[in-house]
Amino acid sequence: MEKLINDLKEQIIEALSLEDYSVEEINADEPLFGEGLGLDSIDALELIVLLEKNYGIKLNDPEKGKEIFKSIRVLAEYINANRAF
Amino acid sequence: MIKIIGDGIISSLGISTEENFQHILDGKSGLRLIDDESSSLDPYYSSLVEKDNLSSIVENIDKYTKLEAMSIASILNAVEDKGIDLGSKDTIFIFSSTKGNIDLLNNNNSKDLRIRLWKTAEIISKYFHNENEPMVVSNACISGVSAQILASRLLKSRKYKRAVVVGADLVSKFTVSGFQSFHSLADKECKPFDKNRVGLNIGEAAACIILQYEDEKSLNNDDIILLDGIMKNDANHISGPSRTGEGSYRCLNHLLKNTNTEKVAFINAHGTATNYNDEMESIALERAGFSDVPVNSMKAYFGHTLGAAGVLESIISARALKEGLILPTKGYVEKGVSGNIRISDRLLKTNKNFAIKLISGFGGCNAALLFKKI
Amino acid sequence: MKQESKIISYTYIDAERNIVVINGEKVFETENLDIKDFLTKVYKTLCDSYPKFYKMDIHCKLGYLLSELLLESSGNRQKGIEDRAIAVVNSSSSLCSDIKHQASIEDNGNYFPSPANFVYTLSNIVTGEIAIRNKYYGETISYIHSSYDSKYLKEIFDLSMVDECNNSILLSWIESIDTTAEGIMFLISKEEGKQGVNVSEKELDNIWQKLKNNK
Repeated sequence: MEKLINDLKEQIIEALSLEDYSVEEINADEPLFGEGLGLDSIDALELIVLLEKNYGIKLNDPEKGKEIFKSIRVLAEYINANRAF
Repeated sequence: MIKIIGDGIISSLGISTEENFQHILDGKSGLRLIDDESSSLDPYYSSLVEKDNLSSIVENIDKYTKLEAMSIASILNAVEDKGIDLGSKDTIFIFSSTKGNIDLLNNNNSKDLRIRLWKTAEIISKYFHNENEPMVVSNACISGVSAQILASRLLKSRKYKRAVVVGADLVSKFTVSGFQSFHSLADKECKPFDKNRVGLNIGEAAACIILQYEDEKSLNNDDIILLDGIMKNDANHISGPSRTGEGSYRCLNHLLKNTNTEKVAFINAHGTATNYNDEMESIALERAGFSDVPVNSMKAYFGHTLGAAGVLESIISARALKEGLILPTKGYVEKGVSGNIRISDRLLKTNKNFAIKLISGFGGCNAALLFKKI
Repeated sequence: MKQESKIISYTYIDAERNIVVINGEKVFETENLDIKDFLTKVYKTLCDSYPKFYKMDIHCKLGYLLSELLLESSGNRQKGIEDRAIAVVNSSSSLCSDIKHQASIEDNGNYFPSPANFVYTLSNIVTGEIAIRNKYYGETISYIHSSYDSKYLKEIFDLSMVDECNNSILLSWIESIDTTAEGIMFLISKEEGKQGVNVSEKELDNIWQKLKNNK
């Protein structure tokens, strides 16, 4: 799980252009949206692409994203349970 | 005064304004399910134009791309039987498009000048032997309204007597894939302002409106003039509308300098049928005091035609105003927005003489036009 | 007597030559950085922190930097106003992002269009970024023209001022295609009491020629 969390941090930094952040600076339990990293609606859509591209998980309803993208740990747990590869 | 002296529409609902308007009165929609791998991996609802339908209208049509042919055909329809020389020095062409000939783009040909909007505009205006360098507005979905505002400024400054404003955009894999990545496409015909709306449909069209500067005393009864136009930004987000409908509100508020809410027959909103757009517009409309003015949207007839929308929907609205009609919002059944507004769901008559076209686009831009019937 | 409209300030960036110029004076220069790295260096060295910068495409980064450097250095930011128009002119629209989007959809077997990229496939987004940063509620618009043309730019300025709502404009030419990424932005105002050079086609041309010839 820790490796997945680490990989996710790297992937998110790249996919969402969070160039000011390093993997160490991102807390796996802090909120992704709202406070914490302060991601927005486009970032949420981009995470949906990331899920499909890197893990084969197709999320057709962006609203579902709100629960899954609560934090990196929550996202990692979801991926672990649902990944296709 | 800026008067509308001609208009033309090329869409799936017809190859003339008359044909399009009649289909709307008959409640017909141009939307259908498209299952075509060249434009999308998954089927989607859209309204498309067949280039072949234009071959008897546009001379040497094989010389032109689909978009150019559509644009030229819409201008030909606008100028039909009007006796206007579009090649004259006092006429300026203004082209409005978000992506132009984007269907030509592939991984290897980005240098192709045909993809440049300024080149496309030149090709279109040269068909009519106009020697003035055309102007090009590419301002996301509000392009068609921005272009009309630019036209009215050019005419007011007396630089030109006449402006041919043509708005056009295609449905292509480029745009369909983009909207799919936003999860903003509906899986059926769109339902503007409706409780069960799930997203938009994109459509393709070309529309031309010809505006001419006229002295007030030479105007006749039932002439439609473009009295005012305005653009305002939400200053909030590059793709999401402002929760307070800030830019739209400021546009509507501005137009009240030249009219009041009691005199407005209807407002043709952007009404794309996405969750956020329609909600935002309803808030802006209520804030500006338009709660009792019928609001409609054309998106379920044509789809969202991007760079053509501002011109296409202005033409239909101006025609409706001229005929004293308030058009219904196809696809709307039950109100699903929190703003206190009146959504038009049936054909009604009106004797009021103002109408508003309201529109929004990516980049936080918003715009509105005020039309008046003399 | 009606005051002539004035060019209050202007900024110029050539990311290929790695230079930043404000009002004719070179204020920043490096060597051999590629376009993206150069723009990042300009941002980190000369601008306040604004994490959204990293999400922008090259075209928007250029426009954003031009506006930040101009507004900060001229002391004319005036956040929250409604009477400042933002107009961008270029010839290739959003081609730098169009190419990326096209590449993401060309192969049906590796088909992952990116919403973060797609939103930048519109030439006006840069005007939105500037409006958001400065809470400018006025007019934002993008025009397409074949080349830098001082006559055209003067005309755009004149036309924007036909609308009495507009008292000033951030007017720019920004082109990012292949290895070129350069832009110029003017703050032009018709407000009384502003210091600057009278705006004219000649002045807009002189400024550009000096910048292009100054290697």
